[in-house]
Amino acid sequence: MEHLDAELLSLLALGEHLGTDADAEHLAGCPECSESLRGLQHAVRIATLDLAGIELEEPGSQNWAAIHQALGLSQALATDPLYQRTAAPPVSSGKPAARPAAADAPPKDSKEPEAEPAPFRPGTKDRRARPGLWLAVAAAGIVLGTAAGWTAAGVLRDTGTPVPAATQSTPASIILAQTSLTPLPAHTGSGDAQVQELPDGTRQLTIRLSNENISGFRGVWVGSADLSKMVSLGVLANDSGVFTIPAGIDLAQYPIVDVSDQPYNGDPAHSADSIARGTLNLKT
Amino acid sequence: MEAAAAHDWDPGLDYAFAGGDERILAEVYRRLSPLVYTLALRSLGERAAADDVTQEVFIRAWKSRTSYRPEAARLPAWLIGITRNSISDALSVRSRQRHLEQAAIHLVADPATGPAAGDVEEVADRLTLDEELEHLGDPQQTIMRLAFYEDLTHDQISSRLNLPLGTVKSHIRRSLTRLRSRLEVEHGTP
Repeated sequence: MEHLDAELLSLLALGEHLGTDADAEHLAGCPECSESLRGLQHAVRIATLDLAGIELEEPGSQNWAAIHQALGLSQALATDPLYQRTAAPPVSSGKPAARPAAADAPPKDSKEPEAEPAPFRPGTKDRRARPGLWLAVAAAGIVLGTAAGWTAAGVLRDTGTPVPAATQSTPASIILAQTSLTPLPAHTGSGDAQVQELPDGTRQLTIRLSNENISGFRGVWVGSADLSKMVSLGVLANDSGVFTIPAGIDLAQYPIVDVSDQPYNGDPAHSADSIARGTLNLKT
Repeated sequence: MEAAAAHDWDPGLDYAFAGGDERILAEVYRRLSPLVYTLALRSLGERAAADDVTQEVFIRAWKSRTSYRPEAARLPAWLIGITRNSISDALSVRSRQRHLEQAAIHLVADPATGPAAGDVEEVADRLTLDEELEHLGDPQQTIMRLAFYEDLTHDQISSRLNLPLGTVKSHIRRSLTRLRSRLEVEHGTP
């Protein structure tokens, strides 16, 4: 018989129970198909690898000292960053329940419960064995910066207090504006938005918005107060995302932050179906 | 340090690193140096050699930060790439110096402590695939996340996203093939 269909192999690799007896028989006897399946299964296994519990070795302090010296970094950074980390109990304890990211992210509140799809798979193998860890890792932003958005925001925002782990690095970013995002009728998602200016002058909009089931994808926009002008900043794929605001955009003219449900129809315009919205409080 | 710490990542760090803030370098070192170091240690088998690679990776990364493009690559994947290059450099220098002993040295990893070489390689691969996933774009990315992390079947994904079954299946096939190829490229197999 012919080789197995590539789509079928992919679905099998994901653990779906599909295919006929004839397919199974072919697979068992066909080195080519079983090799393909193995390769795909490996990709699935790696992509869903549970990182919790894998311990890495830490380099000795002489390494940071050498780097620090070779690059002529500022004296304020002389202490080994790994050593400083031990000041934060949740990070150094190694307890799976206290994931570093979750512990570090300052405004983590709404994160854990509805953070991205809780990645334990009811149907599959060993990954299911440790749902607690998986949830914890999910909260740690395993899926593309779920909670991580605010970890970096925390890192970037704080200016000086050498206390918790992630905030010990203290770049001088400035918060230019923020707002809460409130749901529009027929929607439930809420969150907040924050505009920061990085040391190089780049302005970044960080959005946190809880996910809800929508039919399209979530577009992020800034718009004029009367919503007659909208500028698209990109796609919000997860509970949080960071978007660069083009230098030519004057936020005083575009104070509205809007997240829309955009249908998959290829039309680049705003769908007029907004999920959540807020007005930036520009600090001048 | 647990591998998961390297995984908690935000693009904001990428941009701030490229922007040249030294404090971000320290933060990046805090999160990623254990991965870099462990990768090197498992490949090279000697702590002194792993130290050298670790230092070189971060020094090289910082010096080339202006050529780093955050929109094209995430820092963890980029640093893993630099690490792999440094490790192969170290191996080839070593093989030139001690070609007779080369074969033995590859096997020297000290099994007494820490994760096996396979584990740390897989951590690195996982971070690499995270980047690849991001590059998939939508709806592929959403589809794969639902399949991977919510354990939805293609049927369920199709109804969740209101996409035709055939579309979902072909996105899954293409995306998974792409992830598989990325792993193969990463490890130099055809």
